[in-house]
Amino acid sequence: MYRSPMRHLPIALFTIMAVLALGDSSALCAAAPPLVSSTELVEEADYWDGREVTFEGEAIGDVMVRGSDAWLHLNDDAYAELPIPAGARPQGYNSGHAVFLPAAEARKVTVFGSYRARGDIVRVTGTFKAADPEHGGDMHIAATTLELLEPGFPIERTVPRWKLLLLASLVPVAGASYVAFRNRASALPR
Amino acid sequence: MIRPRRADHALVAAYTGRVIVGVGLLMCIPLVTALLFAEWDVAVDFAVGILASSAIGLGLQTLFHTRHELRRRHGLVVVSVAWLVATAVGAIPFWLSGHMGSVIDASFDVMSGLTTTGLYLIQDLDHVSNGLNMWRHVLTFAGGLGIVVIALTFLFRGTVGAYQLYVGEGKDERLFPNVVHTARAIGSVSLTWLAVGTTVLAVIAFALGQPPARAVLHGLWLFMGGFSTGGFAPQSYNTFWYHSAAFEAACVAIFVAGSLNFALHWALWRGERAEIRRNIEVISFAVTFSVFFAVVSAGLAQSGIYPDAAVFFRKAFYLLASAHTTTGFGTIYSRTLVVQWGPVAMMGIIAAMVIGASTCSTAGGIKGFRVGVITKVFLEDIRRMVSPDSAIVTERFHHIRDYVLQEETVRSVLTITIAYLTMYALMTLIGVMNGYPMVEAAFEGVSAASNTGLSCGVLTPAMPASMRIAYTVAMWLGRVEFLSVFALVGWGIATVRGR
Amino acid sequence: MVERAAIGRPIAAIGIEVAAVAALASVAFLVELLVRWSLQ
Repeated sequence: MYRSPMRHLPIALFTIMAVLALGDSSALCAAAPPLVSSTELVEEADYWDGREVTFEGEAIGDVMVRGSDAWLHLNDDAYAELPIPAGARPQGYNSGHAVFLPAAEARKVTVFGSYRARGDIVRVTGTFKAADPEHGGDMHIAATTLELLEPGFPIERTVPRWKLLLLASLVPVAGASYVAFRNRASALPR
Repeated sequence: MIRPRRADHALVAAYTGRVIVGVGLLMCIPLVTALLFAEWDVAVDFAVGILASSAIGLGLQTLFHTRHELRRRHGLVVVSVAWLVATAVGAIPFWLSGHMGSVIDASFDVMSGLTTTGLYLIQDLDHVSNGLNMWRHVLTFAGGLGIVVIALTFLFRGTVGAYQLYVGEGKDERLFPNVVHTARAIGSVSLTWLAVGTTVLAVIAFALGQPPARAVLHGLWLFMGGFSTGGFAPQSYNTFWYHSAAFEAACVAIFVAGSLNFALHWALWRGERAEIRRNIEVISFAVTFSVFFAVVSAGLAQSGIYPDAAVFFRKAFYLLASAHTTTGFGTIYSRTLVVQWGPVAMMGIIAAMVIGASTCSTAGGIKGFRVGVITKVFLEDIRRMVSPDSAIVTERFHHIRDYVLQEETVRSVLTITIAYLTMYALMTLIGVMNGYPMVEAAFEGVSAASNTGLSCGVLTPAMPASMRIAYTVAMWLGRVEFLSVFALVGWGIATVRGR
Repeated sequence: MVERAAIGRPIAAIGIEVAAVAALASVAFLVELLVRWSLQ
């Protein structure tokens, strides 16, 4: 799991914002919850537990609607910009966070990240729960709102020419092995 | 020391060739999957893999055509060599996919799959094709069943010495008369479990809100990852993805079943129900599980992250069961172990991974049979001390049948146990030398060497290459219980220095 | 032997194995309660 050297930055920014806001209580109410990364939430779970946070990431896989609520998984890793099937180089593991939110909000997401697509990039705001007893102790963000930042897109894969050449050159080799194997097997009685 | 002749080398090469052809045949499953989902690029990757493995496998069999029978000393060498070559060939589609940072990483993931470990270095798993995901899970399932066949046919004889006991019992009493019967029995047990387990998981996944096709794929893959006690899952979130107690319960039932000795499965199939409470491995597992659960509970109670008793139980039981069966499924983030669970709970988990589950199952680690036998040896010694000199003290244990504890069995049990403990210590040392904290280095090192696959965040594609290679070797050694690798080393020495 | 046994009771066997897991879980739950109570 990668540890960004910048992971304390949002905490610092949040503190500065909070200090500035203290001078003006109306600004305090208006201040948006701090934007956090998945790494920070896991690494500083106790600090963030119960706090309001903003989280942005690519919707992955599927949305699992359970009654009036839903589970969604948002990845805020390097591949949220460009997945490997779309041409990105490998640059570390996936990293993301689970989000529990009203089904009506979750339905705003239409494209989910997979081999076939880069998912919608969305922003959620809600309360971070480090070990929520309501959900079997699962760490998640209990979000109230979801906002679509950037729509997802399908990934068109074409087979690279070198792979086809490799395939074509292997066909005669494998064929020759097979013929030789058959001849040898019939030449030597068991 | 007898120097292996040319015919012996030819025999090993020819059988290795057969295994390679087998790997190629297995690749047809992901190939079909890729074609079904119109993943043309992925289909080409697998077609390349199939052609390469046919060329190598058939080529080896042609060049080293032999009519000689496979003997045990060849068998162990074939297991070692074929395992390495299968890893190299199986890595082709991984490498072609573009998801791997290096050839080392691609081999690591195949070794992890075949040895049913479950650690991975694949990157951007959440955007991986269905074809490649199928290959990951087929590898782990085939590797799991493969090791059970190997263990039941010849590995177990040498490592535990129990084979002599089976034969000693009488003519018809042998559990499995030959490799064909063994494979057929394993096949019927695991295919029944496959049908039941996949259906249950897929139905639950569908009820949890997954689209039908994904529910079926996830059900199948998680069954394969669970029953093989591998721990691969189709998303980077592992089983945390599902957020469901029912799903977790089904997973526990599946991976515990996978960690049971197939001889035990078979006894239950024949209607010998008492076996489940009399078997030495079941008793050993139940006792060590309860003890380690107390340790994990104490650690979690200290850290105080799960005040609610039911929640506490759900998290702790799932992870400890996953560790003790050497599966590696998890419902927490890797780093949560370090950040929130703390060192005491982690050491309880490490202890469970050190021991692992049953012999002749898909599980890794020292194994319950050996822990049970060592316990019996202690009991025997205590009874000897309090008995008169003239008394003959014998200790018995039950494993399908009743056995009298023999010195030969104890000897082989202790040899392998010491080999495991040494490897765990070395893996921890390697981690500490590379700058990781002691508990984390031990956790990750034991996880790899016991073929578990839980991670506390040490393993990443950015980990030093020397460590990634060390982990790959540890997975291999742990899986084949050292013996066949020792046989390979002995074979090499004999080739150079034998007469 | 294999053929005869294959007709056996596979589902009953699976039931027994699942029951064994449930038994282990209930023991573990008692262990948890005991540990928590003694650490209080």
